[in-house]
Amino acid sequence: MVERTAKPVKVRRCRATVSRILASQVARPHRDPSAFARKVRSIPIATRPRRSLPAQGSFFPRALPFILCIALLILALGASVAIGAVPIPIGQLIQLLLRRPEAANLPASLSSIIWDLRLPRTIFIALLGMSLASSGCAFQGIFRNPLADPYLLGIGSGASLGVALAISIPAFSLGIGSGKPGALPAIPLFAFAGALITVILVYRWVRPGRGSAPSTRLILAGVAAGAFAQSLAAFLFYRTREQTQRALSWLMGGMLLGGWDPVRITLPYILLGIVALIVMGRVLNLLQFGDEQAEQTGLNVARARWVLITAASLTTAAGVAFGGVIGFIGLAVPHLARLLWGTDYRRLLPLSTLLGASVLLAADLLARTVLAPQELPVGIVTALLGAPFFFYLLGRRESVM
Amino acid sequence: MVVEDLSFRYPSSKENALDHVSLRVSGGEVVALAGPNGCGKTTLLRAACGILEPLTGRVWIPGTTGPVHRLPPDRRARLIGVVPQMEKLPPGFTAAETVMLGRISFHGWFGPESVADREAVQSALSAVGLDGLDGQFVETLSGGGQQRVMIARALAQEAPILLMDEPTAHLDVRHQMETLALLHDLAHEFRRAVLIVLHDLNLVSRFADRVALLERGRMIRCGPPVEVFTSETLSSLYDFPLQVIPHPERGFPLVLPDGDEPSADAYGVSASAVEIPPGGENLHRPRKRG
Repeated sequence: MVERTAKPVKVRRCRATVSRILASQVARPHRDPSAFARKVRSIPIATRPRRSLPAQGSFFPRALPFILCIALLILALGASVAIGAVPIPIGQLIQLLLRRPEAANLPASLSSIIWDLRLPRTIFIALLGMSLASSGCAFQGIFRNPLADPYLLGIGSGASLGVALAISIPAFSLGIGSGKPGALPAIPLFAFAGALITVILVYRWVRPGRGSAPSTRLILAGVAAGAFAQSLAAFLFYRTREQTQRALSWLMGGMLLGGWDPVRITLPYILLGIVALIVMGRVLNLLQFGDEQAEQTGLNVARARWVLITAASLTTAAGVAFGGVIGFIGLAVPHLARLLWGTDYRRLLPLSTLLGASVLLAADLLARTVLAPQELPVGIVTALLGAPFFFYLLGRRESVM
Repeated sequence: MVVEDLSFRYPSSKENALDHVSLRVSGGEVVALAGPNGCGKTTLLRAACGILEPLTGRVWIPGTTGPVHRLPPDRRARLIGVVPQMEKLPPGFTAAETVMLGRISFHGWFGPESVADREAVQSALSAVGLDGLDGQFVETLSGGGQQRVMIARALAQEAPILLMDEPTAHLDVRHQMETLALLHDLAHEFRRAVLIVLHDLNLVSRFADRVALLERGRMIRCGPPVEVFTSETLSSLYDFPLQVIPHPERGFPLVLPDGDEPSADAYGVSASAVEIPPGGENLHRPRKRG
C-alpha cells in the first residue's frame, strides 16, 4: 500500500525537477553546459542511486498456468491409461501402477495390459505431443511467423524421408520386425539426419551470404522441399511391398511400433531438444524484435538461429521417427498457449510443451475409442479437430501474434 | 569512433548510398547527422553500428582489434548502444522486459539477470521518464512512450558510444528537450560519444557540438552548427529557401523556412493535380442518392 501511494509522488517530483532545470537552461547561454549538467543529477546513469526492479507479480499468479497445465497432463495421462477396450477403475489403476496386483486381487493379464500396452503408448504419445508443440512454438518464434510448425522448412518431411530410407534398406527393415539390436536406435538418427540435411539445403539455398534471413522465402522453399521429401518417402514405402501397409499408416500419424522401445530410444533426444529450447527462451524473445535489433543488442543472430533450429529439428525428428506425421499439434497448441498466457517465450515454451502432451493424449484417446476396436491414426483426429479450431483462431486474428 | 572513407551500396541500387564518408566522433561530443530524405543518414548509422558491411573503408573503434562489422555482436553491444528508426515493437512484452533485452550481452543466453542488470534497467527507465511504467505492455504505450522504451534499452547497454536514428521523431516538445539534454549530458559529463540523426535543424543547432551535412551519400560540410548553418548552404542542400537567423537571446542559429504565404504554389507544387474530380464527394453539395 505504502509503495503504491509513494510512487506517483516520486514521479511528479522528478518531473518538476526536470522542468525547473529546463527553465533555468532557457535563461543561460547554451554553450555553457556545466551549470545545467550539475543540476541534472537525476539523469546521469552512472552516479544515480539505483533502485532494483520490483519482482514482477507474486509467485502464485505466475505459477498458476504451470499448475494448471501439469494438472491437465496428469488427468490426461490417467485417462489414457485407464480408458480402453478394458476400462480400469481408478482404484485398481493405482494398485497396478504400484505393481501390487495381488493386494487388490487383480488378474495378471490386467497388469500386462497396463505395463506392456497402455503405459508405454501413453508415455510415448505424451513425449510426441511435447516434441511437436515445443518445436512448433520454437519455429514460430525463430521465423516470427504465425504459420510456422514442425513441418515447415521440410523438417518433418525430411525426417520422414530419413525413416523411409532406413526402412527401405533391407537390413533395417528386417531389423524392425525381428528386434535385431542396433536397428531400432538407428531410426531416430536417420530421421534427424534427414531433417537436418533438408534444413541445411533449404537454408543455404535461400540465404547464401550474411545479413538477415528472408523469412518468407525460407518458408516457401521449406514447403517445396517438404513436399519433395514427403513424396520421395511415400515412393520408397511403395517400393518395399511387405511394409507398405504399416508405413502408410505411419505416414498418416500411426505408431510405427508398440512397447517400450520407442520411449526408451527417443526419450533422450526429445528431452535434450526440449530442455535446449526452454533455456533459449530469452533468445527467442530477443528474436521477436527483428534480426537487426537483436544483433544490435548483442545477439549473434546467425548462431542463435542455428542452435535453435538444430534443437527443434532434433526434437521433431525423434518424435516423427516412431510417431509418424501428425499435423496441427505443432501449429495450434502454441497459438492456444499464446492466446491464454502471452508471448514471453520463457513461459510460453514450457507451457506449450505441457499443453501439447495433454492435447495429443486426448486426441489419441479419441482415435482409440471412436471406432473401437479399430484404431485410427492419431494424425487423422488431430487434423479433423485441429483444422476447425485453427479456423476459429484465424477469425480472431488480432489476438494471435 | 572513427569512420574512414566509408562507402556502401545497397544490392538493388546502382548508386552508392554512402560515398567515401569520413567522420570522427569522440567521447564527450554530440555529433548530429542532417540532410534531405534519402541522403544516407540512416545508412551511415547502420554501417557505423556494424550491421552493414561497407564496400570500401571501415568503421573503427580505437582500442578494438578490427573494424566494427567484424566484432562479435556481444562485444559490439557493449561498445555501441543503438536506437534504430522507429519500428513497431512486438506485443506481449512489458517495458522492463524490453529494456532488459538490452542487457543480454551482460548475462548471456542463459545466465540469470543480476542485480546490476535490474538496476541498470530501472535507471534507464527513469532517465527517459518512464518511472513506474515498467510493468506496462509496450504495445499499450503511445508512439512516444515506445520510442522512449527503445532509448532506455540503448541506455541500459551502458555503452560508451550511442547511435540514435531520429530518437525524438515521436516525442512531444518536452520529451524532445529532455531526451536531447540527457544525451548532451551523457556526452559532456560522462564522455560518451553520441552520433544522432536529426531532422529538426533547430534541435541540431541547440544540442549538437558538430553537425555533418549529407547530400546523396556524400558529406558536404562538417563543423559546429554556428559555422555550418548558413542560409546559402542549407537552401542549396534542401533545394528550398531557408533563412538562418541568430536566436534573439542566446545566439545559436535558428532555421526558418522561407516563402511568403502558406500556399502550395509558392513552393512550386500544386494542389490542383490532386483535386477531387467532378462527381466526387464534396463538402458543399449534399450527395445525391440514387
